[in-house]
Amino acid sequence: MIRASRSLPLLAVVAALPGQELGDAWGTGPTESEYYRIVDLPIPDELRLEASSMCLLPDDSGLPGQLAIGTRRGEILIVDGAFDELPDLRFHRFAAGLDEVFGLGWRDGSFWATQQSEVSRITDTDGDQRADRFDTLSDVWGFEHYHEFSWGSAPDERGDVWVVLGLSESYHYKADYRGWAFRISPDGTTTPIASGVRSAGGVAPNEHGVMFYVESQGPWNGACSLKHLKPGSFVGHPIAFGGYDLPLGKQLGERPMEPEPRSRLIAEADRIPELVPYAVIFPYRRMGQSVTAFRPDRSGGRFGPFQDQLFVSDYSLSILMRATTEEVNGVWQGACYPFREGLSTGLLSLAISPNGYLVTGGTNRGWPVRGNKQFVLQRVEWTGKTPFDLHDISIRPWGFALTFTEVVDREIAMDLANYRLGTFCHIYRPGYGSPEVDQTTPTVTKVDVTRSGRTVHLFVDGMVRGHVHEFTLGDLKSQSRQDLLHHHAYYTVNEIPR
Amino acid sequence: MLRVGLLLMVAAGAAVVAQDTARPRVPGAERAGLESRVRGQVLLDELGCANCHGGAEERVGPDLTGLAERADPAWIRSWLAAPHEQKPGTTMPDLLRDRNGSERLAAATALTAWLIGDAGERPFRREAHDATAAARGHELFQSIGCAACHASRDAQAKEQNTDGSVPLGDLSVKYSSDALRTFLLDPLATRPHGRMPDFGLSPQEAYDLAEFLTTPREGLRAGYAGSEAELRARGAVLFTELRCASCHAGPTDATTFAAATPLASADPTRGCLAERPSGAGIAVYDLSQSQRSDLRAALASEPLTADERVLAHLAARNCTACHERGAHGGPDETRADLFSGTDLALGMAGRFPPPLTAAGDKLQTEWLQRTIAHGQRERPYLNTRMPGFGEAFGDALTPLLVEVDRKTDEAPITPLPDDRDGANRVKDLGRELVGDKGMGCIACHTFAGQDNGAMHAIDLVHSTGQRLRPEWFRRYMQQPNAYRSMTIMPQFFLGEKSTRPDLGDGSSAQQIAALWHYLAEGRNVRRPSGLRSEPIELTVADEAVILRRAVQNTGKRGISVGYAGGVNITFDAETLAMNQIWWGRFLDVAPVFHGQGSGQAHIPTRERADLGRGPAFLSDTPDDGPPPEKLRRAAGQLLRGYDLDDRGRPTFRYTIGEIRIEDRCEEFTDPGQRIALRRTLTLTSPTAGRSTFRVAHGPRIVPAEGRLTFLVGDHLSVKVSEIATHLEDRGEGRMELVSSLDLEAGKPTVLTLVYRWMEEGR
Repeated sequence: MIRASRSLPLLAVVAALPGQELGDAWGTGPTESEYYRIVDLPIPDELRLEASSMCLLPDDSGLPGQLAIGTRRGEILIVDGAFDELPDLRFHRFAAGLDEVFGLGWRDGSFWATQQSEVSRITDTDGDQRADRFDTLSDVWGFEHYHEFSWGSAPDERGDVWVVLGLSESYHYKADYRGWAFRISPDGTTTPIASGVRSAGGVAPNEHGVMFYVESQGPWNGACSLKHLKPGSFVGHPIAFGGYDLPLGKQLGERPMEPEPRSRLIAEADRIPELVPYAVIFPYRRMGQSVTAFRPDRSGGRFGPFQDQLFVSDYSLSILMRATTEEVNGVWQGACYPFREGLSTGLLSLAISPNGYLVTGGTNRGWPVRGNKQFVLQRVEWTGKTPFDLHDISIRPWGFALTFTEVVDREIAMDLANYRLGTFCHIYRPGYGSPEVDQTTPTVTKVDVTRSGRTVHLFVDGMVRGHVHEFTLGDLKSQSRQDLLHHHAYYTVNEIPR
Repeated sequence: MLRVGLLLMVAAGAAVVAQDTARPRVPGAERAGLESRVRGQVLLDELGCANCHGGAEERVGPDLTGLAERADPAWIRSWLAAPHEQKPGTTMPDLLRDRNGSERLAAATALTAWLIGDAGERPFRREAHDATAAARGHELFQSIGCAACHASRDAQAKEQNTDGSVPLGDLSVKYSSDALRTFLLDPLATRPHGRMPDFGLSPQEAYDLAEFLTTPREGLRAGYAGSEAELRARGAVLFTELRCASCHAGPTDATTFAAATPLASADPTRGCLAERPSGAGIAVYDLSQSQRSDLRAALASEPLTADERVLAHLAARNCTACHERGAHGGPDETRADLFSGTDLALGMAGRFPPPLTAAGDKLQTEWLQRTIAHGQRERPYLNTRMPGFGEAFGDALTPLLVEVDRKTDEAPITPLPDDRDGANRVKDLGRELVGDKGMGCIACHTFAGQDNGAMHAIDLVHSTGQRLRPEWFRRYMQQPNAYRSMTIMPQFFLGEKSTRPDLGDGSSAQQIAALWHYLAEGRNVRRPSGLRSEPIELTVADEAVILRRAVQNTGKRGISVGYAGGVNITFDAETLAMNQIWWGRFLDVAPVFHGQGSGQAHIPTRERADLGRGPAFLSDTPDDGPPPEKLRRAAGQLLRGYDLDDRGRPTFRYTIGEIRIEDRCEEFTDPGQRIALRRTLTLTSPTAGRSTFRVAHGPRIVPAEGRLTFLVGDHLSVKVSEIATHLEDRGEGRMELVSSLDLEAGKPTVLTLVYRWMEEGR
């Protein structure tokens, strides 16, 4: 139980300043700022805040709706005021001395944190607002190299934390269970979920409540992606098959077949039953270079027109993107969309408050990053003005349904020339990343604008399973003559609905 | 009937294959994407057509002077008798094809005698094979780029993939290791053409490679009759008749030969280009059908454009085996795995040599020439090395690259202001941009030989000023991925805007010029901020401080605790053992809080003692787990966590099988003494039994005063409570201080230990 803090080790009362726009990824920053502004949240200099995980505190915490932050420097901070209309932040250090907190949640009176070495339950038992009990729930995995990052979820509906273990040095299998994903129950029971992880990022439920994680581009991963953590699955990188011989690994069953190098993911997924194709692929550079975290917007529209979609952060390019997922023929897939560029640090974490603020932060050390501030916390605020933007893409047996945030100008929307569609995939291979290959150009044969006026049906000849479908939209306009904000979106087709 | 037909087809197919196998191999010309006439030009040059037919580009063959020391005479003879059998794919023509078997052998014998002359004093010898060196040589061969052109080899030096490879033949038959080593140290000395470039090998590397490549194999070594004056004289005549000196320097000075028909007027269906070339003076290359047609296309065509000549040069020296240039070349799929590096974090750029796209635009002319001629190692993280192809090739290729690539129609980068203060301001801006508070270039790049420990991308200042063209630098900074599609370098400038509008005037033009002038200053430039990690000291006041992160002398699961008053410990949560204790300041955490966090927290004091690494609790059934030397936790041992008291001091909780253990330390001070640490271990087991606890282990543990105090190392005094504790000599200089704990069912057993630092020591 956390009550409003009496004695705060750190205190800051500084007026919030409009955030500085730090460059573009898509060149849409100035227009985006009309709809979503970036605000620097005031933080005291001595805090040296490197926010690597975030969670919202629920009612039973005593600070309902407030923000908690896990840091690379091993702290859990409670932040009072981050979601106030006029943010006036008070930071309280709940715990320290942890090892790079890349997963944080609250349940049953405790924080549940994933640090490099273990998943822990961290509790204040004497009511002084400082943790005094640290319970190790699971530390079954080997940890022998600093670049063996462990990312974890908040407790799920059963109270389990899902943890995803990056490979040794992001390439090798040098310690037990590197490259594996586990589910850790409150009693410490550790259940294997998947093998095949490369270098993971955040772990969280998608907008439908199904657990996903972020994967980075590299060997066997042509680009960053959101992957479904399907129990019993193999998520793509075969180097950790040694784990199937270990006691817990055996619970996952037999080793899958080795994938063929230089094949295509969908071809191998068709051949290897355990291999789950990557749900949403983020084309390298156009849509981030190191995707890190994602959260669904549950603010019920207070954060603008994209409620219940995923908001996704990127480290290298300091951008925020959106993603939507859907299950087709039993396989998850979906699309990613540009959202907001110009944040000022390498983003590692984000949270979206019930009252509609997105708070994000991270670090700029160690890897190349565009937003080059060291210790920042930024808030993205919806200005209340709705952009005319692509809301989501959903696949149909005959093509795609594109829904927009506003009613479209029907005449312009009926023009086939406003929809350019190309596809590509990656080589599924042990080399780092992949060029985009096997390009095709499907034909849009017919356009229908639905009666609502917000959805456009594209009838497409030549959809390709296993390919990212890249949409380039022309100068569509809303009925009220607004210009389209972003013109690109990328839908990963693993399955075509039957 | 059908069967016969099938057999015939098979036979015919085999003949074609055989002919194709013998074709001269210039792998760069066999890569996809080159036009026929370009391929033909490469062959015209590489086969040395101009050497007989006249023309500008002569191809200099291997220097035959001193051959007696280099090559086995038996090999020379069989080579001359049938070069295309000895080394299928060689570019050396067969000049004895028109003679019958015994005539050929006789001619080859005479030529050999002439070539080795009276080599009485320094005859060809072989040394004993050094298998250890050969193993090192194998690694080199596979990694530094040999296998980019030649077939990769297994540990026995057996070739793995000859497709697309420059053939070597059986080197163990041809060379002694010593001869090959000498050749590898300076290949251009005997093969000035530079098709085999100079890798700048160290003598040791050359020795290792030579040992590997001459790994003895089964093979016939024909005897050699020796050299008589009369035989040598016949050889000398043949050497002249066969026009060997057209291509080779050797024992006979080049005489003036009547030139063969000039290429311009030669009939491209006859002579060497005939379907079945034969007759005296005809060089038989065993050209494939497509090679003949490429040569004809080249002969019939206009001279190549400058762009095509670049491609032809790159194909001739097989530059495209390692480098791509636009749509051409780059490591092919079958060889990609041979390209490796030491910094995996750089992705593709950490494995593959840079593209040559726009190389003539990127590099300053002199640097470019030197790199081609003499090689370069600007990227030490690449295992593949850029070798030197010789001055002649450098001089030929450099101006072409400059002509084709260089953009000359753009404004020069803003020059440094003339006044000193103005110039310094520009460089200061550059310095700020490079540092950790600017664009953080040093997060990934080495700077004057220093790096952050995690990533080692190309040195920013080492040679920038002499290497890069400033205008190219400006364009590269604007869009790195336009030049290297897979680079992990983000774009920091977008058009006129910088991602750091708060520095300088915020413009791309000013900031890029500042970066250039700062970096071009060279190695003595002032270091940027963040290159050296300033210490970050974790200080302890009146509450204990914990750091859970890699620390010196411990694995990654160390939990370090600094107690108020200046005594500190590390509890290794992997092995469940307190493994070190120190007095004074707690920790410098810069190594784990800087960069990617790859280091270990640093203990900033010398008053430190090791208690020994490895598990503290030994299993009574040793088969259960790893031996105590192992640094992994044994099965059945679990960390349960820790609790903090009101002064932040942890009580570690862990279980060894069914025994629950609570393990806590408290600092205390005896009057007039230095701060000390009291540790209390409380063991509770549901069943009665015995547990063995290693108080300390290491090379120097001796009893001190009384039977309960011991000195660990030179300064650490450990006093144990009244529990059976004894010192064991484990041999090999290892002592173990062990407490045997008798456990009653359900009743706690308590062991206390007091740690003191003894200034005087032993």
